[in-house]
Amino acid sequence: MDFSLDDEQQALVASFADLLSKRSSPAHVRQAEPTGFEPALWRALGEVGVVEMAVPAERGGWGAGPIDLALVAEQVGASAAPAPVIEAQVAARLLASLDDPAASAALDAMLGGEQLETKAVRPVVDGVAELVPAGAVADAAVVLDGDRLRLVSLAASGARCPVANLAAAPLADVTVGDAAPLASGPAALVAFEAALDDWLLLTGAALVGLAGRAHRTTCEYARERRTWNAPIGSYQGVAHPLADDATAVDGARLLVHEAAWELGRHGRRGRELAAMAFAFASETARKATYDAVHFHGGVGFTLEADPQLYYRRARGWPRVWGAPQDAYGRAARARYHTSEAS
Amino acid sequence: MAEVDEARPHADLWAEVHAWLDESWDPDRSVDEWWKLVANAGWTAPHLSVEQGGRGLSRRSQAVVRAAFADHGALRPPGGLGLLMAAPTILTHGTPEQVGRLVPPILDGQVGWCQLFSEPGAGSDLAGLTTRATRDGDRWVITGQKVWSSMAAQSDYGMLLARTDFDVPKHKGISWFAFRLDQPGVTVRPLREMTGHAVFNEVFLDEAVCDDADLIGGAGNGWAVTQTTLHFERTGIGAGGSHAGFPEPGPKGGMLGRRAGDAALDEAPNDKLTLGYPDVARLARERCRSDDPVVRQDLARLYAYSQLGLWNAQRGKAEARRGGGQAVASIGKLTQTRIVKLAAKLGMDILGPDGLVAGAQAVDGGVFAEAMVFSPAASIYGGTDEIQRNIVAERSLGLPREPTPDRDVAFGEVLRSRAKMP
Repeated sequence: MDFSLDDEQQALVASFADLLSKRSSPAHVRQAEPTGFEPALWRALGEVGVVEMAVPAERGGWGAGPIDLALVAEQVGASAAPAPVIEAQVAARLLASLDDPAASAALDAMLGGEQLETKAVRPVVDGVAELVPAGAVADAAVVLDGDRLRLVSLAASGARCPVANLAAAPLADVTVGDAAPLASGPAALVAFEAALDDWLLLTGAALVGLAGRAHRTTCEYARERRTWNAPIGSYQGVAHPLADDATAVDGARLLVHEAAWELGRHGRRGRELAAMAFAFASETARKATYDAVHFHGGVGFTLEADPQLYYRRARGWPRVWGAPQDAYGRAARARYHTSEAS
Repeated sequence: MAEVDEARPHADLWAEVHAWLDESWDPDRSVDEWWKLVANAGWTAPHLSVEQGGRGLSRRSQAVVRAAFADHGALRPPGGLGLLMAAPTILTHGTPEQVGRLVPPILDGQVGWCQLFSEPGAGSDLAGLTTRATRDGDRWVITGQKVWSSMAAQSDYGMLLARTDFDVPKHKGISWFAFRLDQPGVTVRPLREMTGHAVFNEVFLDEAVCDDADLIGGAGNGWAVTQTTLHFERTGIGAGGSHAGFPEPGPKGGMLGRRAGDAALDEAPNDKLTLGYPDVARLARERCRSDDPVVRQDLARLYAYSQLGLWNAQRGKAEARRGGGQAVASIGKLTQTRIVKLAAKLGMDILGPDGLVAGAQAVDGGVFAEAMVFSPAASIYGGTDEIQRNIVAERSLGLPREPTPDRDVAFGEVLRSRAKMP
């Protein structure tokens, strides 16, 4: 089994890493808070086809597979980019999977760069989709209302209520109304769950990137910062936890890639592995970003330093959907075909 | 002092405080007049001897007295870092002149104090500090930078550590100053923390001055004096949380000119930056998650740590009475940081997505979200987890110290060789 990237994949990663290093530095990220959206960055990403790549060729896109999307998502996560790349890609794939004129029109608007769409990751309750990722900045959101998939326009005033949050993410509560459904019944549920698999996979990939960046920053600091006349990285109390984090980040990355590969070939373990990758990446990012703050000492606790940017996002990004145990539950249900009363 | 008082039950003390308050409490007095009256009667620090400004009672009496004041509806005696750390340090190492001049204004709440210990280049290795104090006649001229100083912006005095001799090994060239902050050479800059608050400050000293009469414990003896200060800081943190500041003393604390009766209605700041088992158990019940098996396991673990923390603190007090207890204090701090982190994590897990929300719309006003953001600080302030583990390893387990090659080298020489490194 060969997990190494081919030349095309390496070039893809390099080009996104380069763009993001220039336009999504920690200073950019800081500046975009608290909204968490930088329009100029989003435009630049759109210009290099970040939405097109996620859409199948027969629907007007490039047809990139889940592995390539995961590679890009990892770069997006590493730079904590204030741009809703994952949400837009997941929404685009969902719209492309539906056989409905309104969905096609919405997809065309996305591909033409006129519209930013997103998808709620949790079902609507009492007419409101809560904490919709990118809901604060998108033009429309696809939500699951009972057994109906609806496209909710966010242009009208009162349709959305942005929610201030710790991760400085552009979240909003969305009032659903009664727009005609894009799909109903079992087909709607199947489409929603498949899109959720995508979201879990790509968010897991982003968390791997975030954890890896926080970890690398901390290793650099451990080489420079001195106490008792020695670099702090020379103390095993520092070096060993960082080694443990490196191991975990590496493992999370492998798991994300395996899940992406399985989803890409429509394997029967796709749902299970995507949930597992999300769970493990969430836990890994939580620990690695905690260690990043901790090993920066008092400085790590200040807003002026970078570790807190990663710390807050590691806790915020997954939580929009749920805790790691929720993802383990999903993986278990997929693997053992059980259903739960809750 | 302690022997006589151990036999006296708290019920007697409670009654005595209430009787005194019945006669003396006057809500129409100003806070500063009231605090002078309270200090005069020895209530601010009742565990000190009468000569020192107390009433010769037990260490526990301070908490009992304050509770009795609150119960009566009277404004509590002043709090603050001066009371917690500076006063006991000066009482232990100061000359009678220094004690007579510096301690009474602490006891009657007239001045606020902060700590000026840590520097950007000297955190865990505090003895590696480089703030320089140079003798100039009967005063010292001081230049350097301090960091992590809580309440510096609201303080009149700082407990300042500076290096008075660069030609001796680092632990031997430090002095402890009772340093006045209100002077041209001092700049205080608030630090913005992850929580969004600015409790801590940077303090820049640029040829600031301090009278030689305010050098406590002798030039070059600062490290020994610091151990006293740190001892009182540690036992204070273990005793009551990280905010010993309430009610705030000094002219910048905003209390002195107020009517005492109004000030008595102020509530102690809700020390919700660090949560414990009761907060999380309540949250689990409110959110109907107490039947979730994973939540129950974590709650049980949190409860176990809380109980251990409590018993460890009691054991520590007993050992301290016998002259030991240092490693126990470190175990206590390690247990505390574990509790703080687990409580914050569990609170967030119970809240789910709602845990993300910040600000006033958040559950419980964002208490759990803030605790999550604050929790890493617990493993840094008051001695990092790593330092606490070193203390346990060395003092309790008798394991050898890690080698520190610069320990006996003149500190000036250490700095020069550091500058030469690539």
